[in-house]
Amino acid sequence: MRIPSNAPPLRVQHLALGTPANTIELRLEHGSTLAILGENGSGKSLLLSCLAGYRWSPGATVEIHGFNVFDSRQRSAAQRLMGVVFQHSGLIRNFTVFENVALPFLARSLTLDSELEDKVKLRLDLVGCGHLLHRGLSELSEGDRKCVALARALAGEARVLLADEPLAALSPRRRSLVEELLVALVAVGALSGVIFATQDLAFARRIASHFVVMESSGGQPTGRVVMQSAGAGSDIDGGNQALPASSTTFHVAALAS
Amino acid sequence: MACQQYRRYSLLALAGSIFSVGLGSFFRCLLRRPTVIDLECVEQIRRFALTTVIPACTTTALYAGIATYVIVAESRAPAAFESLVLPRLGGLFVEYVIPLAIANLVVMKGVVAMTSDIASMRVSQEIEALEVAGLNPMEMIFAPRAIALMIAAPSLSIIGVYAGFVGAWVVADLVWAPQLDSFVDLFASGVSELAVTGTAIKVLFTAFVIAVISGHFGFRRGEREIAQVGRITTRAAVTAVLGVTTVNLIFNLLDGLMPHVWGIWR
Repeated sequence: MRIPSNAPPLRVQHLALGTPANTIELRLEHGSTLAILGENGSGKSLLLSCLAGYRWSPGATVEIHGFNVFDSRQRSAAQRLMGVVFQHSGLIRNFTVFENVALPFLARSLTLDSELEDKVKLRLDLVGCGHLLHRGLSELSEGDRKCVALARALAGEARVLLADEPLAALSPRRRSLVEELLVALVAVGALSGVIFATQDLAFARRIASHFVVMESSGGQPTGRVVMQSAGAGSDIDGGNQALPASSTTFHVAALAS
Repeated sequence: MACQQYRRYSLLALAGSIFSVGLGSFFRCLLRRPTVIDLECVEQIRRFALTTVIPACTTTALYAGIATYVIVAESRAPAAFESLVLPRLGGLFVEYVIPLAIANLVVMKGVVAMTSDIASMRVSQEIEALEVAGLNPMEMIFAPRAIALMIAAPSLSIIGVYAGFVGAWVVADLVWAPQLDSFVDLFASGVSELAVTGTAIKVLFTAFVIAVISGHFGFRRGEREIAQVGRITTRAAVTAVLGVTTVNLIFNLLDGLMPHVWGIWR
């Protein structure tokens, strides 16, 4: 598959999560890492699910390297270029760790052979789970599942990683391993962009080059984005430019400090 | 909410996935090049058959035993039962009792297992994971289970004929102790190959309807709340019971009309 050279890893236009009046416009350049922050119920996971293409908003465009996930003709190409770490890991219960990580490869051939095992083992070793290759899911801890889900997201032809709370349930040692891995994958160009939702401000500050802060009202997402820092070469735009002085706004000040 | 969830799993798409995966798996298995979907189909058939064969035999034996007891109790003389009722009993079981017993069992086991499986996979984001990986959840999750149901249910109905016979014999032996040879002959005289085939087709069609209902509730009604899984499963089971009754009614009506249609055609 040929990736358009001038297309950014992620471009979002007219995406309305809440009321149609609040739309999100995003453009992420190569080598960027975007942290989506916000209170509980502010719509972080909802935004990620729209970026991954399993929820949609009328009139919106979400492009991964130029392929629109909401266009049925370009959807599979866009999904092939993204790896997703779900909030609940999303590992298939009847499958072993090997079969789960092999899923993106299976989309092309549907046969499990020995060549696949090396590719899968490599991904699992990256996240420190190589020893779990032939285990069943029932034998895994929550932290192991999250790491296996990350290994699966890095399989296939993924160029953009979307992760929902990637460090949740991980031990401190695993946390630093995953952090280093994400930074390294972006630095060497294996991933053209990483977008993750988190409540961990310290983690976001350490690895993200850009931030989006979502606003909530009464525990419901308003779909409004509170604009935060954007690094060189990138333009992150929100439906609401000014920071509202509402108590429901996430701790933007803490981030800026 | 401006943001909406995709509704991709229509009844037609669910039914189509059963046929496409079924035919594909059949030819791939013939060519000895099975894929993970084919292996999953085999695993689901094995799992369904193993966990259902004993309850199926027990249920059909009980249904047949109870039906025999009711009929014997209503008969004034065992001789009249033997000469008048018994020759029709086998046919009655094959055409009406066995399909209903198997259908009820398949509803309980198949619908509940399939709907709760799919709905909880939706909650745990397994369905989304397959979609994002570029795989079709209907082919990977739904079709293998539906095919297992559609292969296992008719097979169970044929096994059920024998279990039903055993149930009827046990009750008959306890009530008036007839000769086994004559009981077998008279019972079997009412069972034709055509009736057994008709029953298998009826159960196959019932299993198909049940599978599509389960898929519809699991995929389309499944929300992101784990608390919804039980409610969705209950609704699917109730709808499936209605589906089974409707299918039985249609087949029985067709069965009643066929001789007339045949007569007019000739």
